[in-house]
Amino acid sequence: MNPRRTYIAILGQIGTLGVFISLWYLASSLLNSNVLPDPISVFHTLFQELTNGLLVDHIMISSYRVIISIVISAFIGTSVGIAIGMNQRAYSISAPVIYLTYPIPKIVFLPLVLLFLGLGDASKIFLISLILFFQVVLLVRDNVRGVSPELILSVKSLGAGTLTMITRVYFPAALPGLFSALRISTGVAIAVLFFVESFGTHEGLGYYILIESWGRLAYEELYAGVLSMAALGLTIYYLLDASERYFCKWNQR
Amino acid sequence: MVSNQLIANLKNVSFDYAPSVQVLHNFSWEVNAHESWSIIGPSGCGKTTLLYLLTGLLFPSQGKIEIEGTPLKGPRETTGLVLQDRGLLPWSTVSENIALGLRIRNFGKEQIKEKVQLWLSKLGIEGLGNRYPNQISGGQRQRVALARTLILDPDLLLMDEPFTGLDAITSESLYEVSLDLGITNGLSSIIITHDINEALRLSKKILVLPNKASNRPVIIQNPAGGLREYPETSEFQNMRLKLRQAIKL
Repeated sequence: MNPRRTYIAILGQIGTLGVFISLWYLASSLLNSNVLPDPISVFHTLFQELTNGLLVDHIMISSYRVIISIVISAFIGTSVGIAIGMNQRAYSISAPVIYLTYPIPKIVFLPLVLLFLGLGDASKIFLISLILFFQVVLLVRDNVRGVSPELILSVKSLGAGTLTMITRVYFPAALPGLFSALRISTGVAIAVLFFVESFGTHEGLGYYILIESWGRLAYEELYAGVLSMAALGLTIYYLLDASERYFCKWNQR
Repeated sequence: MVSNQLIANLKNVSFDYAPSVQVLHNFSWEVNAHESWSIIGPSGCGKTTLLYLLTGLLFPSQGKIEIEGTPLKGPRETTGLVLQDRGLLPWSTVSENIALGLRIRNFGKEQIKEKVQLWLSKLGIEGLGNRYPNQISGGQRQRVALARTLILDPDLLLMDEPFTGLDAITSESLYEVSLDLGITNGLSSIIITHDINEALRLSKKILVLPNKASNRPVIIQNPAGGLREYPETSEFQNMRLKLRQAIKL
């Protein structure tokens, strides 16, 4: 992106944020209820919770869980996606399996996951990774299959073996698909994180929002938690965006 | 090297994509070293199939193919293949694309850098090394594709419609580059084309493939191919007519 467009994009985002906070302020003045505290007191509480309270710990543990899940699903999903994308037989065998399992909402397996992996981080990370994994596999597979036969033949004619084909052709072809899959799924990943952190744990933003704040009617803390979770999602989204710009320079408009 | 040594020898080659779709039938053809050939014919006549057979990326259902006297079992290190510009890696820069074959052959970093620089300038694309293929023109991409293959010093150069889809001025400059690089004089080259002018300018022998599965190649001798002033001569016009009639056979 050229500097001028970046500048305009940043201005637009700051503007949107400004409008949002103004509307919030207006709504809280009109409603005049402690269910919707005004943004100033929420930001004040947020600051206090960040400096004195345990909010930073909750943010750290939530970030850890979701980022580890992203890394695991990216690694396994990309490997599997490339393997079935570059091989017609693997594609044919896996296609019906993916077709049947993809639409199943993985969150319903939560009780089973908890039985097998316990209440700790493992079950949470497993479930988020599982949901991301399917997105990644599908998009990576389709990107790899989209590589033109001419490109494959011409690189093979230069003497490329399977390893070179993977590192020079299939992996770079898969990257835009990987980043799209992860960006699309960031919202879902955070939502699942919120859900799995709402029980059986004393750490994480889900716990902070539902048990520590909502549970004791601490509305300002509740909003501080919601803002933190939104910020977490946004940060991950920005990080993915920046990584894509860095790793897929060739694909920039 | 003896000048009439065979580089490619096809004996009774048949190839079919499906039992009913035969593109080559009992086809024999000999290419001597240092000869420049064009293969011309309508789409679907099997000319691209023939090229992939020569590369070792496809195998005949019957008959045999020998390159330099050895039966072909897969891609050869020293056969160069230039496809239309879709053969370039879109995610690698021009320099990285040109260096790819050398990297695969484990050349040293410094040596690669030096050779890439040399070939960038040979093809008149210095300064484009850090661009990506989608940031340069079609003609420039084709120069990159040529550099990427010629840097490996092939003894047999195969090109599939290398100058298709380019405007007249661009393809003109690419003909010049091809002549400069000895593609017509010195290298053993086979160019697939559907362009009569291109065939006449870039090769001394022209193989005409008819529409149906072929076993009787028509070969047209074009001794003046590769001479720069050839297109302006009346002989060129006569050869055009001759080739046109051969294609209609």
